[in-house]
Amino acid sequence: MSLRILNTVYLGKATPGTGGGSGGGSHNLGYYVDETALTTAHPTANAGDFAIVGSTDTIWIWDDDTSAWVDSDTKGQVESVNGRTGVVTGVQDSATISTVSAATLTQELANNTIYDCGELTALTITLPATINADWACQVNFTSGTTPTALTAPNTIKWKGDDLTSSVFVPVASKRYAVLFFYDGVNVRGIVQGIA
Amino acid sequence: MYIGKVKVSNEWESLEDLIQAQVDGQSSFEFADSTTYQLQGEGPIGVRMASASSKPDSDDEGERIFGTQVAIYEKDSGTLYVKAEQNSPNGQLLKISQLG
Repeated sequence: MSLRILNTVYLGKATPGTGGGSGGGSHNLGYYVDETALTTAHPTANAGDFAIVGSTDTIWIWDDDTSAWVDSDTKGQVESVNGRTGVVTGVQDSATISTVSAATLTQELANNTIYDCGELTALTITLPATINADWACQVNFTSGTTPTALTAPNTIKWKGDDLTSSVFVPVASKRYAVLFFYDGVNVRGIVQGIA
Repeated sequence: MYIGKVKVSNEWESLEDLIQAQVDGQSSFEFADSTTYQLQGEGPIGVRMASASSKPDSDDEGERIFGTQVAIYEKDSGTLYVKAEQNSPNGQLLKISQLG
């Protein structure tokens, strides 16, 4: 079993050292395939030493009280040091939050974006020309006493609250959260409205 | 050794101060010299961390971790400041453990 260690961050004096010893920043003894490999390489260690074991995908800590390696059951997350070595994979940045203060919004929905709107009189959305498999976004808005007029591509497959003939039609005086994502064939719009 | 879990706000704060204020039995907590700590996020919003002599001025200083990503910290001459990448009603949880 291989360990996917993604992008560990080292702060202060901590470094991704591979040596032993008890000095500052050198407690990390590195990566070992399994417990046997670890204990063979380091039958003894110093208080504070730790290592990553691939067979358990966890961090092992040297227990000075029992003079033995102990599986901390703490999962590692990172394969390379942030900005130093290795390939960072599987890490997605936080969504971009676009705050909308206008009363109307005409918007091509961008990937990984949350459109956080106030009360909208009109909402017109379009879809990007190219949509990847991981495309998703969210639109939050309030439909006032006069319902928000929604214009959206008829290719969107809607599910959730306030659907008329399977098409989302906002009603008055509700706060909506609409999640859009691509299932590989269709763009889906999942609607939740709270009065 | 597990130390505790703190809620990190959208403002730069000393992690020692947060641990002292939020973790039972750790009102005098200080990071020890020559000791390694593991800081692990919980939740989808990233946590930014910076070891600095004073509270950072900008939002993009230091390093950041996402989700349950791990940071390894050993005390240096600075103070470790943390902040959540975005506002969140419940703050962002950060789990602190002492590795040795």
